[in-house]
Amino acid sequence: MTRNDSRSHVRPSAVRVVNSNQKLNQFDADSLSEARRRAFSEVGAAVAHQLNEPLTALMLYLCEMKREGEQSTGTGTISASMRGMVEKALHETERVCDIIERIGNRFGAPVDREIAVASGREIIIWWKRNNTTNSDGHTVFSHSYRHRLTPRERQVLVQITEGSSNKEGGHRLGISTRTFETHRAQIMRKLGARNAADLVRLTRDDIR
Amino acid sequence: MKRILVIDDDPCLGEAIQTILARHGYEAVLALRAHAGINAFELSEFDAVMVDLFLPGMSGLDTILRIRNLAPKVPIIAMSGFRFQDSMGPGQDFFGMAAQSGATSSVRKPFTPWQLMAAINSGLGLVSSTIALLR
Repeated sequence: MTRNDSRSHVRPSAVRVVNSNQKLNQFDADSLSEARRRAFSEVGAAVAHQLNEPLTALMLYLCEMKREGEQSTGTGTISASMRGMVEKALHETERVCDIIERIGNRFGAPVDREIAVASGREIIIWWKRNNTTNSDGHTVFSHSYRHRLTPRERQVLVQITEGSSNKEGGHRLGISTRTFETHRAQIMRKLGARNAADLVRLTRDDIR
Repeated sequence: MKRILVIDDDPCLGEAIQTILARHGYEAVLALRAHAGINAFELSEFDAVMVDLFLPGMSGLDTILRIRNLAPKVPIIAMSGFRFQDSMGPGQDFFGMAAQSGATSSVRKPFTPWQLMAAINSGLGLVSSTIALLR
């Protein structure tokens, strides 16, 4: 068998490999795109659901203020400029409502009632669990996250929030600096914290 | 004075609804949990019930079913801020499911006082139920 014969024999299977790789890549891209689209619609539905509660309250109060303003002519208790501002606040609230409507209505629910209810509930609970804010407006991490940490990771978290360096913390726990750093990275990944300040806030707000 | 039971887990929104209903001459009783709402309904007389479709613990649909079983004729108004795609046909969304569970009418959050009163008055039979209640 000559070299040329051998090459001509190999080439079709090499082409097949390239083709199947392309198909796999395309499949990956399609899956990612679908996952993104789904994630966006789910987050949108959850955000809209959360915002629609305060938006409804805002709408009710502003409409009532407007109505009161319109009724209180003559006595002069509500000035024309105040009425104008209420009108504008109402208009802005309606603009927010329109935006939320567009964000929130991408969620294609399953036809089955039980599944639809369960998936809607799951999205709302997921959002509430991850995005509860305290009175300072800071995100409060849920207790459920705390339980995801191993006992050792919780010890490391305490060291971090007490201001220990990796070296000090490792020394106090009797582990190497490198191991301490690994635990620290795991904690940040599990809790979705971006930096030490996030971790300190999390501990102050949630764990104590 | 007509008494309305409002079952919604958001106390701020519940207070806003109470305020509006009070200004229109209704007494609103607020329950933040489905079970508290059902208990209140069993213990006291109400002319209408408003139920949020997503409540902690028991779902709003199950709450509507329970209340409908307790009182076959009481007007039940479903409310929700949850959206489905526009392409979903009528009856396929949560309000369609609420109607199947026994809700008399529905109102989508965010709603105006007019839409709130239209939903309640329609439920109470005070206005024509053909008024469009949904935004």
